[in-house]
Amino acid sequence: MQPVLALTFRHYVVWSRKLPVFLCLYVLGPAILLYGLGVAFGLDAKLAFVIPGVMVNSVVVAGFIACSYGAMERFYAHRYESWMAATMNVWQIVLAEALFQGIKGVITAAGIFVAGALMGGPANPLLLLLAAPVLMLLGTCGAMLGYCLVALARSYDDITLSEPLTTAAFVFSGVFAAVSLFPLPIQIFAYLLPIYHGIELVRPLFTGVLPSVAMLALHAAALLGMTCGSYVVAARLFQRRLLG
Amino acid sequence: MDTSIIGAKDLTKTYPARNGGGAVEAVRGIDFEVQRGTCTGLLGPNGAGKSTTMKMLMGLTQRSGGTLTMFGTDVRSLSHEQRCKIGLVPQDDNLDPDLTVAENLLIYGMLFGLPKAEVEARVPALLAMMQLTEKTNARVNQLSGGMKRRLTIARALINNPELLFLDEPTTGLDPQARVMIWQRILELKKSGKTLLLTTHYMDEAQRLCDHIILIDHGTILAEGSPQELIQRHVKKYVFDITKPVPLDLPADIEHEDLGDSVLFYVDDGKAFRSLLADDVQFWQRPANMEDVFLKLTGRKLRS
Repeated sequence: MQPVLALTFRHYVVWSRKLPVFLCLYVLGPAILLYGLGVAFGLDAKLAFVIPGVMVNSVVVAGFIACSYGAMERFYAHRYESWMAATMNVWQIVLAEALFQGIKGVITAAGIFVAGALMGGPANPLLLLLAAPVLMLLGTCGAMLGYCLVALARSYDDITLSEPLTTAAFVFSGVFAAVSLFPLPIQIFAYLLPIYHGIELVRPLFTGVLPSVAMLALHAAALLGMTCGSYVVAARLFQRRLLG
Repeated sequence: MDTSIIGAKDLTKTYPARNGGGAVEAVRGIDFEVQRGTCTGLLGPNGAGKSTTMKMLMGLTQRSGGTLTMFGTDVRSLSHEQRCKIGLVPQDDNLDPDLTVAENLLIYGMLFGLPKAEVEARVPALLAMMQLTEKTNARVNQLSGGMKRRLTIARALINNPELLFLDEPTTGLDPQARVMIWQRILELKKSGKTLLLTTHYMDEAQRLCDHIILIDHGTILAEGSPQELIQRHVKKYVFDITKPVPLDLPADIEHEDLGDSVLFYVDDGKAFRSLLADDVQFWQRPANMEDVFLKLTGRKLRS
């Protein structure tokens, strides 16, 4: 585990160099989005509904994009070879990246939480604390999915092909409206995404509308399964790509 | 007593067919050993199979057949402790550009599982050894090509390895930087480390290596010490005679036409020199590894 933590530390060291800038961006970006949506559609009454949706979506997509582009850049720069020469294996490398994206995801979500509070949304930090484990899992899952994509992509252009998918996930996973409002095929699509299950777990904390324990357990199990499954697939695919 | 640290037997690597091309046999059943405490050179033209061999040794690609052992263990089954005894200076610069010089060493050492305090204690000495102390807090992209190479060597030493792979350590460097790196490599050899080196510079191989393995088209063409190879495959002296070459030279002397001059390979330099008139333009030198290399692999350009 020590090499995994060392590589996670490496990612943290690089990221922390611009920490103040990142923290501002994590608040500023969502603040602009929520302000714009509020002016256009009058979000005030729905802030407690929308903010967790935006948080979950951002955490997954941030992990996904950071990992896919970052891994591609590192692949071409032969960085993985250097880490593997330092006794690491692909499973450890992917886990370290995912772990870091999970931690970063919680911080990203905190920025959105602050932006939401500034816009008049829920402001109790306990909500964020309770959501943190799920957010961490979501960031990790997004990172694993990013690695799956890089393992299959042959160029940066191939990565950009995923943009319609991330847009569809943003729109159909329940960020702005309940998934049940969409036609059945779209609902099924949403059920296959971690964002949907993440929202179903985090949103009740903000709205106070608690579903049954069984439903919460179902979403938690689905999210955990997706994260573990994507880890196995990501590591295997990436190992095949690296070792040929 | 077996003093080998690496052993390859019938080692094979075949890359599967891709994009309509056929399968490529990069390494075709080679046998070799690397003795503890020596510097062994793996030489060959581009595409000869040396980088593939290096990659198999480092576990960066899987072999297709044969056996490959390090420290007496199959490379696929090396323990973490055994892998910690290996250092790699890769052909490509893969330093971490997002980190400083010191951080590159610190984090790399931690990846081996070494305690942070222990790695931190090693960093200053390694930077001093590679004359990089002044650059401790510089970012990698602020370093020259020679400094990056020296840092890569320092990084490969952070875990104090017994066995060091040096894949073209001086390619693209100016003469001063090359000489400085040669000195460091010789110091490492003196300290008892086992080195496996690939290079395109024959003077480098001749200067640094105790044993050379010459490889081409995936097979071993020759191996031995530089002096043994020179004695075995070429004569003692080379005379490079600018054309027109005197017509009265004995026809049975081994020679090679280079276009504007002809190389003559002879054992008795004095006797051959006496055959040349005063107005003949020539350059005489002792035969070297480059002559061996060109004789065995040919002068035809490789891709």
